[in-house]
Amino acid sequence: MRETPERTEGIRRRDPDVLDAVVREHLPGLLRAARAAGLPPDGAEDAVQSAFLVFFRRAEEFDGRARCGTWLYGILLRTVAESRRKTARDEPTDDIDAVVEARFGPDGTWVRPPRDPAWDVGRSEIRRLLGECLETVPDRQRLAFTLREVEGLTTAELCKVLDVSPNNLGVLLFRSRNRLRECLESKGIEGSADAQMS
Amino acid sequence: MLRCHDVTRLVASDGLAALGPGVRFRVWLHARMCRHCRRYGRQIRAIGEMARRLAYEDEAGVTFAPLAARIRAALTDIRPSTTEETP
Repeated sequence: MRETPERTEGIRRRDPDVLDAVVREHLPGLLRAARAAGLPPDGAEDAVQSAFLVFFRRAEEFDGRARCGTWLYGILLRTVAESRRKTARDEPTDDIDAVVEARFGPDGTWVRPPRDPAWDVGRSEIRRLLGECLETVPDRQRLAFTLREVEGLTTAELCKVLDVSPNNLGVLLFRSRNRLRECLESKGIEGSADAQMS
Repeated sequence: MLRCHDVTRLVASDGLAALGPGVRFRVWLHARMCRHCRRYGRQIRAIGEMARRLAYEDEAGVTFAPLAARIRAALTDIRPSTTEETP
């Protein structure tokens, strides 16, 4: 997705109104991404501020071929990766893979199918449990999941900001979602309280 | 013939979008016949929906104004563009 020519020009000229609009529009999402990447609240705010400054200092380079959000997420995540280089890449194997594989027999059919009947997304209790489960997901998987599900980035945008291939992105999403699913199932949520809506 | 193992991998990795309509139809057909894969797909979708709600709930009482003001203050020395200033 591209930026409009007017907005691209406004960013390149560092028009104060356009810059304010960019900050307003992207601040919440960037903060969520920084927190999903594992930064503490203060560190997340500093990283987001730094990302905006880097982006606006290099505003003349912005060509509008990608949304400015893609640039901002990319800058933010490079900053985070540089500060924690040792965790910048996902492990080639992950124990969640074995957990998922153990649910299937040699013929590829379920031997341990999903247990809970349905999760009522309207129940605040289940969402609170999901929040707890999210804390157990490795940073890079949580980041991919958050950018996809909460921020709505496309596959192309995600591959660019995370610097991964589409296949690697699929692995990150597969592992994060299955880790969350297994975690919620392990908490024994049943459908008995489905009527308790928040 | 698609197996449950293949279907769950495609669903959870967002792999369906990259496939042709024929394979997507086979996945849909498999899910129609397999209640376990149907349940798995619903749970994966529910996790995404809950994460979206959770993110916005957590921010319900949060104001971004102080940080936005801090960023605007830090930007004052780099705007407006030098192209409009004296060379």
